[in-house]
Amino acid sequence: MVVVDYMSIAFITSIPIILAALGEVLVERSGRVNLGVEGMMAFSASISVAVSTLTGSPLIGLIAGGMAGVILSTVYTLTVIGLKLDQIVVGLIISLAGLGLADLISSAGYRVGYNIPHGSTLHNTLIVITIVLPPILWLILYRTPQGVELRAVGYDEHVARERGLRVDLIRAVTVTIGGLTAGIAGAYMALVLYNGRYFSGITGGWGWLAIGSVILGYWHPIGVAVAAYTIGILLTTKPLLTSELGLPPTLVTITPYIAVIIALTLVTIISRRKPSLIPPKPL
Amino acid sequence: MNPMLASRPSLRPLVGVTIGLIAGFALALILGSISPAGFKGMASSLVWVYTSPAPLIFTLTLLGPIACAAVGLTLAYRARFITIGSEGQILLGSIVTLWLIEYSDLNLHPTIAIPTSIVLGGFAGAFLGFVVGLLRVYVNANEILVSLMLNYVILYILNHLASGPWRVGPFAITRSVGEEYRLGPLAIVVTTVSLTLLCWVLLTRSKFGLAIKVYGRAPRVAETYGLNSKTIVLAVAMLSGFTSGVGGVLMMLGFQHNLSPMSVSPGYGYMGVLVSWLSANNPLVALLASWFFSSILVLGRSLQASGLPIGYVLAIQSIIVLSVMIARRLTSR
Repeated sequence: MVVVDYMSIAFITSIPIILAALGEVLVERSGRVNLGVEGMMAFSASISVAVSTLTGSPLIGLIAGGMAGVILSTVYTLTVIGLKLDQIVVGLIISLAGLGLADLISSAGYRVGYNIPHGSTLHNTLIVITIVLPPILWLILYRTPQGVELRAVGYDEHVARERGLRVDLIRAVTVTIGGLTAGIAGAYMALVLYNGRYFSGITGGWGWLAIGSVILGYWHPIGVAVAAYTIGILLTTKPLLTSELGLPPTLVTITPYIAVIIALTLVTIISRRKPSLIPPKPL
Repeated sequence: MNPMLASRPSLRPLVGVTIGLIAGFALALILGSISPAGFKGMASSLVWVYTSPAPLIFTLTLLGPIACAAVGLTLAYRARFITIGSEGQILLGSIVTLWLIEYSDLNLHPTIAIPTSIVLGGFAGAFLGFVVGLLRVYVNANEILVSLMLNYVILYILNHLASGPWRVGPFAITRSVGEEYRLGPLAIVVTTVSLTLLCWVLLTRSKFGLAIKVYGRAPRVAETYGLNSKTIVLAVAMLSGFTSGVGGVLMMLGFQHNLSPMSVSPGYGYMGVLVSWLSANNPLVALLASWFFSSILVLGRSLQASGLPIGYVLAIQSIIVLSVMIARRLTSR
């Protein structure tokens, strides 16, 4: 039963990585990459704690967190899609600025807010959404005309433009959805995983792990969810692996980051073997 | 020819940069007044940082790691090798320095230990850069993500060392570098300026620099001219790693002196990345921009006691870079 417990705890832990990664899948499928996930998550974590403190409602905190992610993603939309600035530079700037702004907001006195308890209706709803979201996104991407258009934009921007697709609009939509999911992911980390608290460094690179799981899951919603869950298992079973198997804690802590590096190398090998599986080229 | 006409094309981007700098800095400082430091605290600290001798000297001390990372990155970015690994490289450089001086039992005399640590720290950074470059060149692994992941790996290794094997006393903190090994602002500035000039000469006065620029603009053209792309990428990966590693040595010997576990990386490498972008990858401009960013760091540190979170420093700098980019784009149309 211990294993089942760990598997479910791992799932609850990996929810923010899964959600953020699923949003990023859409962004990258539409041919852009938003490296601002880490910053959007931290910013929304801080906002969600502040708003839950001010309103007394973790639900409003969660919604505000989602909106905070959307606000930062709008910066990306305006500068990268609007002004055609470099997407890598802007993404990293959003990450760095988001982390700093998050610390700034909490310094105004919002370090402890109201949490979403484990097993509450709100928490269960979030669990259900995370379970059904990957197949829904798969259906949208592969079985609807909008999904086909989205992938077409990511596959070849110029052809898509010539075919009359509104490339910039489609990308603005995916980036905004990516901001929303990253925002909810960050709010979830603060309100659920850390019991309604914010502290500096709360996201601990999980946003980067989310971007890594997009590659690890080979840009497929279900694959990405599985990859993010796998990373969640590595993050959750640290106590088990260190006490039961006697592995050094540092080794276990750095494993997810190493796993992403290995995944990055495997992707190239796979796409060399099977040209039909060439991933979108956002990076 | 009318000199006014001749100078016009070069004046416009400068106006854009100036507007961007001022607007971004002002916006960031106004936002910062949300913190308990308040607007008055921000304003008085701003004046203090640029007028008093103590902060001006401290700016030169903190400049070391930021500028060393930035000038090396200008080479990498010119070759379109977008590494973010300077953060981890700086940390590794500082770890290696502390090991050499305090934990290696070599008991080297400062006149030998300091140059040795600069070389060793530089090579440690270059090694990390080499790993990232190798993965990029041979399996086409994205260097941004690989280098970022390595930053976290190094951070956790540092935390492990500081809280475990290298810990002294009841608190998770390592031994401190002895007084005789520490570097003053003059030594830091000399090292930094030498590295900057080295990078500048490499970039503008050498065949290798030309190869970097050609490769960055048009990789295929470079290959048809017989320039080996693998060599270029590996070289800039190691060079930028080397300068960042030296930055780590300057951090350890200049002001850090010991290590303790940290939940968030100190950010000198990320500042270097921002500086490099702000300077449009020109080493000399990068040195100047590093001084500016270092002064913002001093500003942030001085307000830490009155409640401004130190993490906000990177946000101020990010906002400035984005603001400059926007202003440049808008004024160049």
